[in-house]
Amino acid sequence: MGHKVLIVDDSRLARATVRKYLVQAGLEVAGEAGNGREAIELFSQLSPDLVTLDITMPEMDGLTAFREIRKRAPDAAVILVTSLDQKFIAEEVANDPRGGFIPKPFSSFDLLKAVRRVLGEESTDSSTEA
Amino acid sequence: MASWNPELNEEQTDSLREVGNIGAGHAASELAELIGRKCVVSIPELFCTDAAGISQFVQTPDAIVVALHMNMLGDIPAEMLVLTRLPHAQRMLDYMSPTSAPKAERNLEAFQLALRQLGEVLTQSFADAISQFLGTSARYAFADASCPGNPDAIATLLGSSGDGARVSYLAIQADFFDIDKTFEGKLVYLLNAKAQKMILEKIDQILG
Repeated sequence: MGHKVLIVDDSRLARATVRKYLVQAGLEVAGEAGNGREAIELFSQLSPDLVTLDITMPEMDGLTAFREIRKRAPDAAVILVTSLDQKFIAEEVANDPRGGFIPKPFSSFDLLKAVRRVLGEESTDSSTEA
Repeated sequence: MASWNPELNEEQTDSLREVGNIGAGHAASELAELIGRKCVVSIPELFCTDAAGISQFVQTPDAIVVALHMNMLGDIPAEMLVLTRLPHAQRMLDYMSPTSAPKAERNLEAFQLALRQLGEVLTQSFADAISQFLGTSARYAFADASCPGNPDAIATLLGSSGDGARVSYLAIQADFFDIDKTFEGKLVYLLNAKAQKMILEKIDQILG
């Protein structure tokens, strides 16, 4: 895929899992952040093609960070990755073609399917579906 | 309170906290579905404790609490507690059944039965999510509910599953609450040394 990604999660384990799946699929991890505030700073610095964003984080939660990123970059591709598998999270991105949502725990297939959708690459072949 | 030092490094602490986050997030999501409200969780914290020390999770020692206890069987044996205050438990049941929720002061037996069902939903969804994440199997045996009771009853609940009162645990604890904060409670996942080791080994396998 060759896109630059910003991974945001307060858990190193969660970041490592996302990183592993994305790197295997050929994406480049441009940066990682442990809370929403750092995410916004790094988003401005790195201009990533894609952000994966946890919700429950210290300092600034992922939903607040998502809305802030949306204000700055309405077309940024952002996937909410959270253990809160609830309607109000899904609704946040329901009508957003560049927004996605996958509940934790997730498989490589789940993540890459969401990545392709928000990047507008749904027709890409399935060879990366580990 | 802390009689066993699990000697976790930063990476292991982070991994166990994420396990708690996944379990608690799913438990809150099942509750949200059940009561029709948005529910969230706090960032999990880890404590080394014994059964008597767990009563300290309930911040005011004289509060009337509801404690629900479940033994988790299967690949990773563990115990789980749901702790909340009596009025908060009543509120959750009222949200579940606005017109027919049993009231603690009128029919304690029906109230306790409804609470047990609520506890099963929370603990089973927690265990299922962790099992899915770790690739393990989970079975449950809902042990007991203490309601209304006092914090000391928690130690009795844990003791009821065997030698629990004397066992030391690593407790992974997360708060759950609706976003309007009309109720709150605590999910406490209790691991002995063997269970903790098994989870960390599974995580190593996941990361390859």
